[in-house]
Amino acid sequence: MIRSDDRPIASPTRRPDLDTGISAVALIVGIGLLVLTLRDQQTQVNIAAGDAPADLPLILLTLWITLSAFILIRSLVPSGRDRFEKIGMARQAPVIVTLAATILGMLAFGYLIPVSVGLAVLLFLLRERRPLIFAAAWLVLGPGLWFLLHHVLQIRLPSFLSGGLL
Amino acid sequence: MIAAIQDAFGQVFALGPLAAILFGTAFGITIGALPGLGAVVGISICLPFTFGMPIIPSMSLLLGVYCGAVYGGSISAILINSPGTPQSAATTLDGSPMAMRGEAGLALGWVTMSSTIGGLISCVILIFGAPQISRFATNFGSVEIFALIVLALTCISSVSKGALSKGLLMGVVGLMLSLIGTDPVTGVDRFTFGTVFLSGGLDLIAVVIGVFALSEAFTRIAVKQEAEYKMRTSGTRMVLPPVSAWKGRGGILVRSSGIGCLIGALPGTGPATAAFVSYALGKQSSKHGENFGKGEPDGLISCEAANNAVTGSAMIPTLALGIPGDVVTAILMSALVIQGITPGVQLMAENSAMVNAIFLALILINIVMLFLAFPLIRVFGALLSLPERLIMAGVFIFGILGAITVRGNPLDAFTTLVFGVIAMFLRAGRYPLAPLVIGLVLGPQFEQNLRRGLLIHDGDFLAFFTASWIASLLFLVVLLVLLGPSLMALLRARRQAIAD
Repeated sequence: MIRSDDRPIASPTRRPDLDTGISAVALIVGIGLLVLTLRDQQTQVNIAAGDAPADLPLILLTLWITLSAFILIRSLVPSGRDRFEKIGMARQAPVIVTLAATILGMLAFGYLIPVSVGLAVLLFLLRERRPLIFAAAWLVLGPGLWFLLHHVLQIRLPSFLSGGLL
Repeated sequence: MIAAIQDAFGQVFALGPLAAILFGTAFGITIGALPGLGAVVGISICLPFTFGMPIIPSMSLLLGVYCGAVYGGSISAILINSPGTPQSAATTLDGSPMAMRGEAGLALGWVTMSSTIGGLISCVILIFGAPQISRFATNFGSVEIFALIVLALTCISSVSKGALSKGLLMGVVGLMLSLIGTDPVTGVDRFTFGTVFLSGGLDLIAVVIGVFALSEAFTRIAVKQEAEYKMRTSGTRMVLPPVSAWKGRGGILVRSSGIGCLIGALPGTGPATAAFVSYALGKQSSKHGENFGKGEPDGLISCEAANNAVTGSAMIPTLALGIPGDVVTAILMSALVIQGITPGVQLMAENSAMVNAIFLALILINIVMLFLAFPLIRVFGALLSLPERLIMAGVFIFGILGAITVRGNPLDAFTTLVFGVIAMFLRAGRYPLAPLVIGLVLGPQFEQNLRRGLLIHDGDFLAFFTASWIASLLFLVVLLVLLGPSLMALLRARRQAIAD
């Protein structure tokens, strides 16, 4: 898809905070889930079978916490730090927000309307400025795909009207 | 035996079955290449059309869709780093890096040849060894299947080279993600936070699309100068690997096909499990194991030969035991029942001509698939001549579509988006994403077989090591995989010390 000589996202720089951040978040999530599992453990034991649904999660969460703590400690030790690529959110953030709005819109308005609007915004954010290409891409990827799947192949997508027409 | 095979030839080489094979395979490849629309959707669409058809054309159509979809998933896995089906998730690991090197056509060639040969080897094994395989498969209980999965999971460490702790963490996270939803044994909700949506668990394809396709698209759009970031201007043509390139790769092809055959014959497994187990074992045994994940043809061979070999052997428990191994074979079995055929122990003996005709149709499907791949890949490859911004828009829309078509729930698209964003950060932090997906794919079987085994053996963990020779052997291999590298390093150091 992409040639190997494509420009890299950014030159690698020393960013220990990224590793620290990810492992710290993983550690906090792991501890949170462990607390949750321990709290629910008492009520979820199948006494008759001697089987508990929390057994495996407890084992896995112990491993999760141990590993993320190890990575966190390693990221704090200067010699153990890795080099990371810079990650900027300026161009991704509007796209992520548009996608989130489109998906949430589907809950209320079905597939066609939010995706048609969201796709137009996406194409604009992705800097497609040629009117003919813009219109063709919008028509094929938006209403065209919806018509093919929803009406021709009968793969039901979320609908706005209860009959499924739209 | 010879008479039955002759009879099978007569049944398959007729206009109806041949047309069904051609249409079914082309439709399967197309639908498999679209992210999210896998074999289940394809077969479900075609099933109503088989009601009025005779048994052999109807099974040819459905099997054509099945095999085509399993193969077709690898096309989008390579071209847009978004596996069309869960069984193609392993193909992205080496297919996408090859495409990024400008070798998409060659990667598709490796995949096509491996899929075809894997499928053919599987069919030949089936024709001559189906009764023996079905008898051997019945020896695999929960303890043995658990041991097999542990072996595959152990190989996670080998997939995540250079970041062992991060790889293991991702594997554990993948296993934990697979636990979300209703507990299969007791029926209580776990990690659902009281939501109905999470009680059904996370949809695998939604997570896979987010982790692989969306995270890459997010990373790509960070580049500002699109003009300097052009896609290839000509469509992709499949390039078959030369005969010389196969030198030294025959072993991994046959071995992966064998793994696919065996795993396919085990009820409750499937092509995705086969692909990942074969990939993990291929990495251990291949001469180019260190290149796995960087665009190594051996990686493509090991997963594609295995997942296509499953399509044939998955029919063994379905036909011989009357136990469908997964959703696809359950639908295939229902197609047989609709035709008045009852799958089960007697079927192989009483309807051997029909069973042989089905196996023969499978052989033809694999051959037809090879020839259909050329024109269809050109059509899909034409996508690459489009500007990248349009491809990215397509990835986002197909990502959403792929996520919601599986269960029809828009919230699955939200899962895709969330995992896309998380994976974008994980990529930047150099966390390997493959172990996360391997854990997620194998997680449900891991847990079910562990707990079933414990229930059968009164909670005795030791029984997993001693219950049968198959489990003991598999755990021995696990130990070798775990301790092998350390032992080799010790041995090398000792040799060096002696030499010095």
